[in-house]
Parts: sequence; C-alpha cells; structure tokens
Amino acid sequence: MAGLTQEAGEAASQGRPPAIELRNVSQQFRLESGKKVQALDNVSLKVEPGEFLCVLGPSGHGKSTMLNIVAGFLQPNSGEVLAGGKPVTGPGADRGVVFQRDTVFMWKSVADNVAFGMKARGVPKAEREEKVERYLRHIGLEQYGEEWPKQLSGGMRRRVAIATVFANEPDVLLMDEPFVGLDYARRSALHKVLMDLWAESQRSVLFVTHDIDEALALADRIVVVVKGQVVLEERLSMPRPRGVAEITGDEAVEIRGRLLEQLDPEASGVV
Amino acid sequence: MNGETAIDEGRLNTRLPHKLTLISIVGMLVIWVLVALIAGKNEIGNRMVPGPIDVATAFPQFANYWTGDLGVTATQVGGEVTWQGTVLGLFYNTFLTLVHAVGGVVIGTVLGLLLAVATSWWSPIRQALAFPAHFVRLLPLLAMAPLFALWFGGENHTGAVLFVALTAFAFVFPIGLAAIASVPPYYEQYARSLGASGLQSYLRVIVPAAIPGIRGGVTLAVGFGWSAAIVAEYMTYPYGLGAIVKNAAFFGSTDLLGALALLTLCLAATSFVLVRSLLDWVTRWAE
Repeated sequence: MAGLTQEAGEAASQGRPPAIELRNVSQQFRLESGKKVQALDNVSLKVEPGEFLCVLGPSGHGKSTMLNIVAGFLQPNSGEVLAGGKPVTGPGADRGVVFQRDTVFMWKSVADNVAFGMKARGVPKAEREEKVERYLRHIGLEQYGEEWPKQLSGGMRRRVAIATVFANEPDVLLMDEPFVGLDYARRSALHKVLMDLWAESQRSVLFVTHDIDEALALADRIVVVVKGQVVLEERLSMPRPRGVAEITGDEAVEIRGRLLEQLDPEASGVV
Repeated sequence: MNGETAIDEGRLNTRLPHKLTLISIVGMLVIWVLVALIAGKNEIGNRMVPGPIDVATAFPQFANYWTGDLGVTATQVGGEVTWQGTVLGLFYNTFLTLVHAVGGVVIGTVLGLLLAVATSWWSPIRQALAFPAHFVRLLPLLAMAPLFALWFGGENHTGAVLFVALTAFAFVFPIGLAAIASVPPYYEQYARSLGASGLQSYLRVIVPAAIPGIRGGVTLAVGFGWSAAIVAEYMTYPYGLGAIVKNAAFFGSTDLLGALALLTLCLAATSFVLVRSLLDWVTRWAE
C-alpha cells in the first residue's frame, strides 16, 4: 500500500483547487403530503486532491443527496458546487460514480463494461484494451472479461463497477454506499481492491457510508452529516493498510467514541 | 478471488414431467372425442364438433384449393382429388398466409420498435404519446379488417399484410414505450457519469436495457399475427387459409374447419418456438 495519507494528499494539492468544494449548499424536497424536508442545510465542505473523504451519517440525513448534487444529478436549491474549481452543471466524466445499486450493464460483457466510459469518450481502441486488461487484473477478474455479468456473483459485479469507474480515470470518485449488503469477508476484500486502486491512481474519493468501521478502514478524513448538516469532522492518521488491529486500536476507539456521540439518537436527536 | 466463485445461473426446469404431459395430452384427446360425439351433426351430416378422425380425413379437401399446374390439374376445372393436389393446395395456401403473417408481423414489429425508440427519446413526446399508445391497444382490430380491403383492394397482398402489420404494431408500440419508460433512471445517470452523451446513453444503455421488457410484445405480435392474417384473408383475400375458412364455414365443412384450426395451431406454435428461441438469444445476457 502506498500509504497515501492526508498529509500526502495535502502535499499533492498544493497550488491546485480542491477536487470538490461545496459552498453553502442547501437542498429541500417537497413530499407528496406537501411537507418539506431539509435534506441539506447550508453545507460547506472541501475534498482535497488525492484525499479519501468518508461521509458518515444515519440513513435519510442527506448523505446521498450531497453525493447526487456533487455528481450533477441534482441541482441544489442554493449554494454552489465546484469540481476542480469549475462549477458543476451536470454529470460528467470528471466525477465517476459507483452506486449502491447494481448498475453493471447486463447486456455488455465484463470487458465491455469496463471499456464503456472510455469508448464513449473516444479513447483509442488499443489504449482501451490495455486499460481493460490492466484493471481486470487489478480486481482479479482477468479470466472473466468475455463473460456476461449475470455469470458473476454480487461482489464480483461491484468490483466490475469499481474497475469501470477507475478505468475511466475521473478526477474524483463518488461512491454511494457501494458495499452495502455484502458480508464482512467480501466487504474487506473489496476494501482492499479499492485501496489498491486508489493508492495507485491517487484520485480523490468522496465515499458515503453509514458504517463506522468502513469509514475507519478507508478514510483520510471523516465528516458526519446529521439532519443535513456537517456536525463533526475527524482526521485519521492511522497507518494503512488498516486491518482489525488498526480499526480497534486506541486512535480508532477514540474516534469511534466521538462519532457515536454524534450518531447516538438520544444525544443528537437523530431519528 | 477471495473465495468468490462465478455463478452459472441455469434456468430452473419448469416443465412438467414427461408422464404428466403425456397424460394431459391423452386426457385432452379423450375429452375432444367425447365432445364430438355428444355435440351431434349438422344438416349436411358433418359433426358440429369435428373429432380427431374427422379432422385427419378432411386434409384431402385442400386439393380443392390448388389453383392448378406443376402437373396437377385444379379440381375446379375437372382435376381429381389426389395426394399431390392435397399437398400442393396445403402448401400453397399455407405459404400465402405465411407471407401475410410474417410480412405483417415483421413490418409492424419493426415500425413499432422504431417509433417507440424514436418517440421515447424526449420525455415530453413520450408522455404525449402515452394516451394514443393505449388507444392503439384498444382498437377493435378485427372489425377494421374490411377497411383494409376497401383501402387496398381484395386481390393483392397489400391489405392483408398491412392489416397484420397494424395488429403487430398495436402490441409492440405501447409495450415498447412502457419498457423504455420503466428502465431505472440510475442506468442513465451511471452512463452520463462515465462520459456518455445523452444520445449515447439512450441508444447504448436505455434501449438495450428495455429489450427484455419488449420481448413480451413481440411474442404477442407473433401469436396474434396468424389470427390476423387469417382474418384478413377471410375478409379481403381470395386465397390463403383464411379464404378456405370462409368457404368451409359457408359449406358447413366443420371437419375442414377443424383441420384448419389444427394447422394454424401447429404453425403458430412453431413460429412461437422459433421467435422465442431468437429472443432468448437476443436477451441471452438477461438474468
């Protein structure tokens, strides 16, 4: 593991605009009943180049809304979102998204899935094939390139989705609870795949999760979003790769305690 | 691989065990014979419900619908009823119906799919077409067959083919619209986030994703295509299985009607199996 830490990320970011910047972003939804829900409330946040930022919070408190706004799928009611210093006006290849849902294209072979973004952007065939081969090898699916996705397990499809986004070489990866529903062993294996790819690519990652252990295992920095507001920010200096020893060590226990305080329903009013 | 293995998902075999299938076929034959015996006969001595033997022995009547030549004289001009005439009459009229059915289904299906794809591209048009699409589905298609004879004449293939095409279109177009509309939006979001343009997302992601939802419409179009072709010939065309149905009904030849029903059933079943195999291949990637 290259051990890209927050310090390294900050060094890499010198003289460069933040990979993602949210400035006073608010988003409100109107329910069928007419009731209004404040999904995001005046949120300001930066993701530095090369940084792995985890957004932690309870379900329904604005994490995915934030990610959808950064991805360009939603326009905020107020505030501004910048990607690499430029305003976000819609989806773009500079911000690759790994969804919670299974989005692998079932009608394309595994290799064609990985090549999809590159082909859409007009990357030459030889370069595409080289990258497809490289990323399939990275995720351990090199012998499955010609197979249909239906022949893969759920965990393998998640790997294909991750490889597809990394192979497209976006500036930022946006990941919306991509490993939800997987058992611990598969999740750990996917964490390793993700960390390897991230360390090699040194891209920024905005990773949404509601799992504290996952955030502790992956993040340079964790922000907690409750009721549409950033209520806590924690920087992690634990060495990588982070296994059981790291995420149960002293630093992790201290951070976990502070995170739990914010997520505790009685203390924070979370419902 | 971290302990993960590829899963080859074979389809569950839902066929009845062979013995049960055989028993059900024998049971249907027994019921058919009993109904034929109970139903009695009409004024000219034919059974009201033709039995299996009546149907089998009716096939030589197809010789009466051979137009002559290839060394076999038509019975209308004094030729004998021969097995050659029977085979030629059967194949000639089946071929005409096949042309009407296949031609119409292909035209209607292709037009229905193209129009569904073209009009779904922009959601306001899709929404605007939602009601007309339902309207097409509700059209009293069989009652419209005579119109095609009036519009295109009764002595050429055009009216029959276009009537079948309308029938196929009425199934494929609204089902195509619905299938495209039901593709989850996150597919397009995913494609756009990978750098695909709106048109690329539509043609390379949304349309392929809708194909499994469209296959039901195509299968229905094929099934109804045969009925539509027979109806068109019944009302507009002097040859083909539909024209034989008209004559058989006029003369009260229930045995020939039974033979035609059996023949049409075999043709429809064969085409259904072929089309389903083709669609299985086209959607071989689907779970």
